[in-house]
Amino acid sequence: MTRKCRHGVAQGILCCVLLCFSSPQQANAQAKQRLLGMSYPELHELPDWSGWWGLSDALIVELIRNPPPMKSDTFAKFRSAFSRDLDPDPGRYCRPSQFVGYSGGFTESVEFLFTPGRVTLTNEAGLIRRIYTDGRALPEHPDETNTGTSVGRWEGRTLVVETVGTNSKAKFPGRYAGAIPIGKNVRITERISLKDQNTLEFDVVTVAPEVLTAPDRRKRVYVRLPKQGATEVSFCVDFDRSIDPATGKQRFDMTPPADLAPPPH
Amino acid sequence: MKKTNKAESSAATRRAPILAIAAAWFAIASSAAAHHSYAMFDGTRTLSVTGTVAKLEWMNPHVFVWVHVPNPKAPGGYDLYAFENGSPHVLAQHGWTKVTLQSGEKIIVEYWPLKDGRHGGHFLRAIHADGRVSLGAGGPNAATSGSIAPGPQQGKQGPRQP
Repeated sequence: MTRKCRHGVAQGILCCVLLCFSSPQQANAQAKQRLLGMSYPELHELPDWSGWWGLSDALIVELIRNPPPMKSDTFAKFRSAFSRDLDPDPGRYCRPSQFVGYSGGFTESVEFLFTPGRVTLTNEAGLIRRIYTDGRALPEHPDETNTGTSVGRWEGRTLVVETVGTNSKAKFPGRYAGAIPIGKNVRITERISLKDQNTLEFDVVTVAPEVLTAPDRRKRVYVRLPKQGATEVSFCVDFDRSIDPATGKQRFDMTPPADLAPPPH
Repeated sequence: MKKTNKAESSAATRRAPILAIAAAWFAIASSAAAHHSYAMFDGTRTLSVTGTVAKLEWMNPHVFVWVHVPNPKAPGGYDLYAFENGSPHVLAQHGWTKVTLQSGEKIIVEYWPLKDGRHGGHFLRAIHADGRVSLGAGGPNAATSGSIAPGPQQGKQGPRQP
């Protein structure tokens, strides 16, 4: 046995002894002490993800460049339906934000809020993801919700987020014409870390057995935006010149605004 | 009605490609449809019209630009053109405000026309009377045509309106 190995064995024995002689409460307390960001003063130990973050590509562009491993030819059918505006869903823009692996960042900026035991990811289109970092486990039988249930843990400066219980009817790969329900037993794992002060990288692995033949793996690189506040981004509006609310189909409504300036004399 | 193909555009329009190259420098992404597919626009060609701004309709999910374009044959002597642009959020990130185009201002608009032939299309860029260029956001083939491909600026500056 090498010296290094003997050292490792000794450490293991010590851990076992400590655990054996600790009460469950003490063990729990020791485990909680290892969690980061559990009090307001401790939040300063976490990396600086303040401000707003954006992507340079729309989701649809990313997906066309790097298609997810969808079953049979469903992605080709989706692309065709999307480009030809087939099978539109009139309500797709007026449903609450739903998380199926993409947190926004293109038309809507993303922000992170750190509070003790929790990271909240929001975007300007209304997505709110509550990521519990207080050491709790994922529920074994989660309710289906639009954002799923997320827990996170800090591995050094990387936040690892596990999400289950997403809405099985949420449209995959996004709220587009031709998208399909993502189905049940979805599990999404994200590893989020700063690459430099103004670059935040998401490694996302999506397991969705009803629509994917294999885990979908993708990397998204967010850039810190030079903006001070939020801009409202809404696709669910009283009057959308581009989408017919009755059919969901694209249109180009040329009804003039009531307050048009008159033509010049 | 003053409506020309891109190749026949005015001197001001001919300055636009230089500015477009600069724009492409900071437009770091490919063209993108965030809201719909742009299937209604003819992405194979651009047109330009000269007219007077009737309204900058600053609203979600898309900003619209309304322009009176002279046409002696039209009732009242004008056609009303409508141009879809990017979202307020994306345009604001690239320097636009709700007064970037002012009612009554004379501009040249380059655009991808509607396939159905109506007066309008997707906004590509506007050239102000003093030569400044206001780039639109999104639209078919945005990245290769000088329109802003929406996305973070990464601190770089391109041609902007004041």
